[in-house]
Amino acid sequence: MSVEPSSRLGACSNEPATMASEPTSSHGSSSPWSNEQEHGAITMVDEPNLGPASRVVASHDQTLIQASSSEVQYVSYQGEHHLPLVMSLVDQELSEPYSIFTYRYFVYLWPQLCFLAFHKGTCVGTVVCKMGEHRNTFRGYIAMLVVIKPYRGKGIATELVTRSIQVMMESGCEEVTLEAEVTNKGALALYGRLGFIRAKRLFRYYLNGVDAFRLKLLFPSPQLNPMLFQNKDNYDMNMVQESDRESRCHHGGCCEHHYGT
Amino acid sequence: MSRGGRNQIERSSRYARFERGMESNGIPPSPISSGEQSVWVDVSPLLEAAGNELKEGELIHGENFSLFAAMSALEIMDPKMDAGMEKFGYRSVEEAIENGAAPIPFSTDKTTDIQCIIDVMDHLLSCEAAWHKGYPLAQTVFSCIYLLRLERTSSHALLHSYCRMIRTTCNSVLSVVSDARTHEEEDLFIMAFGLPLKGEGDKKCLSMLSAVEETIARQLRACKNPTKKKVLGDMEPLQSNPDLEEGYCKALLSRIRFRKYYYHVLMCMRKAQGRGLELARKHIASCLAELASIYGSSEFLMANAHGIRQAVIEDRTTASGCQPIGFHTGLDNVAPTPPRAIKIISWKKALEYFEKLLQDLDIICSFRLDPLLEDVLQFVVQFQKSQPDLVARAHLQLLLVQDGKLYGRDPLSDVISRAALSQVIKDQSFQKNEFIIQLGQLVINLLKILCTNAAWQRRKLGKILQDWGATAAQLQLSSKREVDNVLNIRVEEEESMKLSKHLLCWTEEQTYWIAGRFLMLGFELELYSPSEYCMVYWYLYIVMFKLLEKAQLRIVQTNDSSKKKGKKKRDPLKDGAKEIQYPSHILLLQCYINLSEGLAMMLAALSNENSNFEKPSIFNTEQERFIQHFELLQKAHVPEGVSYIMFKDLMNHVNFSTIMRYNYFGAAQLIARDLKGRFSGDPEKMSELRRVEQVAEHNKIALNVICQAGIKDPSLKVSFEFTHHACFAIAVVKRS
Repeated sequence: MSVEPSSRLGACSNEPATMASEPTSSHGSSSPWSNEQEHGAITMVDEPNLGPASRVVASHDQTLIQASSSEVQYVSYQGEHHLPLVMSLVDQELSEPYSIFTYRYFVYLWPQLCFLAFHKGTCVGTVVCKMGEHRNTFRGYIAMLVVIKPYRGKGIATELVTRSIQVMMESGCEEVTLEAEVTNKGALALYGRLGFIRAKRLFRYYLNGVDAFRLKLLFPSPQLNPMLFQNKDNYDMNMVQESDRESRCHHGGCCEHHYGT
Repeated sequence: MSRGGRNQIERSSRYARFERGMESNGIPPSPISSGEQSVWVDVSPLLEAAGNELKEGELIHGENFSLFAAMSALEIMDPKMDAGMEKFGYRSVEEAIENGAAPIPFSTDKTTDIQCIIDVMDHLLSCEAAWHKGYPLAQTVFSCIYLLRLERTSSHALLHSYCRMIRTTCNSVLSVVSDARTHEEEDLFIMAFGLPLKGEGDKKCLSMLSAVEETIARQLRACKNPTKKKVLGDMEPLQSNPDLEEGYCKALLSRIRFRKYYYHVLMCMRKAQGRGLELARKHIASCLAELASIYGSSEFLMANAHGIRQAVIEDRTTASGCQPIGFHTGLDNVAPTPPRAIKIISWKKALEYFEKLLQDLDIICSFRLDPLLEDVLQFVVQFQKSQPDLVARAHLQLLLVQDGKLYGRDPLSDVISRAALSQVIKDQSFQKNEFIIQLGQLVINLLKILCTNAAWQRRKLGKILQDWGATAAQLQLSSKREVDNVLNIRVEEEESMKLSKHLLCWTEEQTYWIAGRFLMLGFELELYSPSEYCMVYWYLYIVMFKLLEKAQLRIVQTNDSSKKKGKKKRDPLKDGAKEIQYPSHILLLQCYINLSEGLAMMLAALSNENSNFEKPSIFNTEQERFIQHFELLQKAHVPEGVSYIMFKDLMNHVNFSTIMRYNYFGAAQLIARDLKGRFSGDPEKMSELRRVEQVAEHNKIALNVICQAGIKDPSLKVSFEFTHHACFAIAVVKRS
């Protein structure tokens, strides 16, 4: 059955041949269900958080909520009672529809990669991911990331994504990937700050004709490059060897240190 | 299935029992056949029982519960997923026809009939443009019921001949794209899913349409010269309102003629070895003229429209703004995937699309089929700058590569010998040389890749570096002389080694050219973020430096060979101690090298001296980003020995005084000034020179400003913008 998967979710999988990350003849250009208002996996625009998180950022169309970073709670996916919250947020913010099977596929198999952000009991953001073997690489994939409009610009999306990536790193992922619309400046800035590069451009990936970037984050290999986790002034060429991706591994020490910088 | 989803299941299964669009009234629905051997069956009780057995949070899934399968699922009657909910209301084309969805004629009133057929023509143009832009044929052009059942239209000469022509031209375009196989990411284009793209009598479409055209042309002459009407015979008018006769005749004629000339363009361009290109250009000119007339008819058609108006006039798919009759959505779709809800491109945008397509085809037709590979590559690269769409690119590729030959005319052995050795060697042993054959395949593959869209092209260029590298490695082995065996080498072996040496130089040159294209396309595709510009320019500098080295070596080798053979060379060569005058493209390359080096150094200095310039990322370092960006180049050892360590080693100590001392941008300006004389007859090259000069000038000024102000000045903000050249940025210095 040569059904095209969603462009936003179809690129990385631990499934066999039909889900190769390179576009194949069965990949198609975008989700079967998108319409002209599709915005890709991330609709929110997370402006760089240049000031205190409690500052209200003026918006031209909506009043933003004053919420300090300490008031937002981040929770890992716990079970069925969280699923409607995730679905409702994604359905509300994204025009591209997902069937219930899609949500279940992610949260059932990788609950530890799904996080929700709450403010005073209201779910205001969520991230949904997966990870698995893909062409001899253990790879994480960020499928959905949403923060509702009044809560944008506070670093909530960054926090959600950072937590997921942290779990991926600790679980042994060598890299993390996702797709984002080339016009989604907020998403591109967010992921750029976290170390993602634009690995590929995907022509007319979305049905509305917009291209996508495949973003990829490659984790350092601490075993081979221990000195890389110091600041650049201490960068000692003699101790650093050519990185060999085939022999990568991760362990908690350098990753914690890294996360803490 | 979880308890949480059970309500959904109940809803879905209940709806599955009813025909679409019909409300439930308790009356059992008539059974709907889903094929010859199957019928629909109500499984609601089974699903309910299964759901009751599950506990909360439990999920049943088979081995094939993959992401692919999950994403492909649709919830029936969800309007976001189920395109059938577009409320077309019919289950099949036949039912639609029976209920009057595609009447023939459109109306007994002749004016209305003509208005409707013009709307159909316009909407079909919009559909065709939408198809070219990547939407399925089934949901665009073949959403037209008249096209799906062409035989029905035979009583309406105008509609019939027009539809037949549409079908023929679509089939021609589809076969070009399919043959070229440039459509990798655009694979929806060639999916015809059993649509009636061909039929008996299609070859007569031109004569049928011409006959109709002649009739309408006579009707136009008759209405413009009423006094001559009696001389011309009693010509029945096109439609019933004499005041509108001229307007509608002209509107129809421009549309019919556009189709006719477009057909001629496609047929001419398909002629072997580019024989039809000159004639194609004439038809393209006529096509563009008719397109302008079509556009001009819009005011008249809108003013006299009286059908149902389309909701948003700016997005209208017809000139009149009326809804076209005879189109469906999501009906009787034989595609394996459920139909997507798509939006047909607007009529105005469709006209713009076809205008651009014709202009791009004209550029292709103006190509002189130069036998020099270097010129072919340059032409293709230049052509791609205008971002031609799939149809134009497919036509270009089929022109370049036919029957395994360049233009279907020049064997690849000739092409390579001309490119690598500056002469054509017709010797059979040369043509059968394994390296020549291998290189021939590499060149064909390269030409095909260069005709794909930029995003796909870049990925493929990165991948083929290894193929070119492998051939170079084999040539390297072949060209080496075993010292011990010097005295025993036969003349043939020595010749073979010399040939390998020449081919090696050329192969390496092409490899670096490909690597340079790969890196530069990254700028055009916006793949680099500002924090990565330094490493990219540095790598680009190295690759282009190696390219220059190989190009110069090849020229020297070729000139040495021709000296020995006493032949005159194409490039100016001075004897004795005088220097070789390098061709213009080599000097332009030197400009690019200076710009790349200057930019890499400037960015390194900014990074080293201004701590605000770059911000570190949380999860990785610059090294990981270096590895990722240059992975394909590193795998192919292009060039050998380049590493992140080398990059850091060289860049860590760069400061502004170093850069000022070497004056990279000044050097680029000097060369550009000299090249102006050589490029004076070539407007594109002159434009490129101007861009290079502007980049050099702006960056030189920016450097001076930074040095004078002092880089550590916290109020100084430096950013990089591509305002003058797609690949070479200019530094913009501002004070905050």
